[in-house]
Amino acid sequence: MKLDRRQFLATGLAGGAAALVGGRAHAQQEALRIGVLTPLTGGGTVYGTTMSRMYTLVADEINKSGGVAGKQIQLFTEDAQTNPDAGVRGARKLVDVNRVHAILGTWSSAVTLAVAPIAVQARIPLFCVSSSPAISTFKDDDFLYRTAYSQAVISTVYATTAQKLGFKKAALLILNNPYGIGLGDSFPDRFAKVGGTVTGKVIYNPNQSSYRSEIQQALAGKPDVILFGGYTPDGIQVFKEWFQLGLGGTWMGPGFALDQKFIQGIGAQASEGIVVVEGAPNLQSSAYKNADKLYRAAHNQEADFFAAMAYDHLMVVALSVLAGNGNTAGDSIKANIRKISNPPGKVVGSWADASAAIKAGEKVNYEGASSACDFDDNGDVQTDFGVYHIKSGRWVLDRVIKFGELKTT
Amino acid sequence: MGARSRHQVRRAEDDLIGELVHLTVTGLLVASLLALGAVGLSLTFGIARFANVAHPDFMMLGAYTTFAFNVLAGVPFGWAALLGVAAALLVGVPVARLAYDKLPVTGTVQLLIISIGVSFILRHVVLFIFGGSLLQFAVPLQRPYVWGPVRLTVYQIITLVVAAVLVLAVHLLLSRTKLGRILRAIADNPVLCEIAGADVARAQLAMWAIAIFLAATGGILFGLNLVIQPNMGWDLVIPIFSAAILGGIGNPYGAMAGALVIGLAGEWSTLIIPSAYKEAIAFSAMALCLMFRPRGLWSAA
Repeated sequence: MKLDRRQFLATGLAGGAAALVGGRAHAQQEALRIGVLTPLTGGGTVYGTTMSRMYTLVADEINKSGGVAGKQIQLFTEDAQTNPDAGVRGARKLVDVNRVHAILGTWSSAVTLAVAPIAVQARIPLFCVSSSPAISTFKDDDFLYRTAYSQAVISTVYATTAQKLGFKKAALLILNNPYGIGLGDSFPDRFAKVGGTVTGKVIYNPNQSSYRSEIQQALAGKPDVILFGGYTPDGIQVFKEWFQLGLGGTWMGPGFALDQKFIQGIGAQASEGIVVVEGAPNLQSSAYKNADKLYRAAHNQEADFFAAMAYDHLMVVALSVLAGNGNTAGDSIKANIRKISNPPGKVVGSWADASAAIKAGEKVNYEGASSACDFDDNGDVQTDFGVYHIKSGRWVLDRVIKFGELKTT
Repeated sequence: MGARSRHQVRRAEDDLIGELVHLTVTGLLVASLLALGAVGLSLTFGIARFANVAHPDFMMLGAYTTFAFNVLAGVPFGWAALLGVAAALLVGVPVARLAYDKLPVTGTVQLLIISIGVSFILRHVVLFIFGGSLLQFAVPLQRPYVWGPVRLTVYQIITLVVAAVLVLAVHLLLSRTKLGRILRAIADNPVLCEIAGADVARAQLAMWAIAIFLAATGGILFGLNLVIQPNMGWDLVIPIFSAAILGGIGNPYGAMAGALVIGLAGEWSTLIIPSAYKEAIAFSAMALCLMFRPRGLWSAA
């Protein structure tokens, strides 16, 4: 079919008019407007994309069943670019133009901490997956929530993991920045508490022309495991040189550094056997089973920790609005978050179960896909951890370490 | 008991020697990469008489042109490297001629500022075309050959050999050829050289070509050993300038010696000082050398 210019114009106008009418119809019902602010470019791309997909899946599921107290969920997506400047621009647009009722999905701690004041000022909840301890203590007037773990517990997680895998001697190879040094300061103590010793601590600077001497030093004490405390870019360079030195050794490190990009960067052969520690989904919960089912049906992949967290963000907000009889004001959502997610109450995980119970006037306790979703006074939760090893270029789950198994003091 | 402790002392000595050898090899690898940048930088400083801050970005350029042939076009690495160097020359030489020789400015400071601009433009054009993420050539990781404490992959051996051969070639070119004599004469006195009838413009063209050829080759070797990213040249500005200054800037032989001092001092220092400080140690060594030889290591030449 070939359109001439006149036909094209007419079709366009008709389409535009239909969109306008449609838009007005929605506006009359007053949608639940949700801002999605995940990184779709930059270092967090992989996670941001997964989360963004999950928000769409959850919104579709809830909308198909009639919405939240008659309100359809409308998603507005901005790319946070793994960059605080872009995050702030995106958040301003979501708040000022789209007048969203909540912002979900900030990934990098720098972005979360830059966007949080905007959310607090607009009095709308912000749900993040960042790990900086500063997020716990941020003066957020109770508008900032996190479903991920805090870095404050990660040293304990590494120590527990090393112990469970039978490693007695560990060395550290850490980046010269607050995150690396912080790990270097806290890990030896925690490892000593579970009977381990640290054979050496090597600090490296980024952007060097060689990491060969650092690697040799880290391996010098013949450790059972070397704990890597850096990011993906320097990780690729360090592991490339490590493999090419041919000195052997077992590595352990964080999931955000030893991710799929990292494995692509150094290849399946060099990454074989590396131990990866990352937050684990709440595998037994009905919420996770539903999240996994949704994600598999749409994208033919299992729902990972980040997909599970995205599922929880939107579920918690939607249930809080429902518990407030459809009130979308930020203060009302905030007041209901702990009521629907923390015990006591009937344990629920799917929209159908939870909304039915709330409509029946029952007190519910949303048990999330990523964790129990019991928010403490700081808006933090207690997550479990997954210990993976890399096999043929993919993460393979070895075991789950429950939050309760960590000797935190 | 006595025999055992003597055995232990012997082992400790062996370990120490082994570590020293390992560090020396690593230092030589670092020095090879720095030398390929520093020699060209020194050459252009001696002849064009300004500090070309964009020089390390020509290393980055060489790595990216090779990446384009190797990964995007699927050319095998060896051929891609040759094509990459040619492409870097085709882009780099006109850029250098236009920015440094053709613009109606002459002052050292003006040219320095222009070179900072050239550096930004090169980096951002590359960022625009290739994006900011880490890239690598399509070559598999290698296991090393092991000779006692010396562990080198075939790429690292290539790096050492190519750097040594090119540095020797520059030496022969400067000392044995007519072009080399003209280049050295221009470095000494450009006006006199022109009066004497030498083709200064052609010699300058040759100078840019040599400098960019060395830089591009160095960039490719850097990418082969580590990774390729738009900031790789910028990250090398300080070590390469240090090597050139230590050698008595303007003197290509000095630049080689400077690269060796920077590379080896940094690596050797890790025997006694935490490795996070190795860059600081390398620059302290530079400062110390300059205290005794303020005009650079090769000032007599």
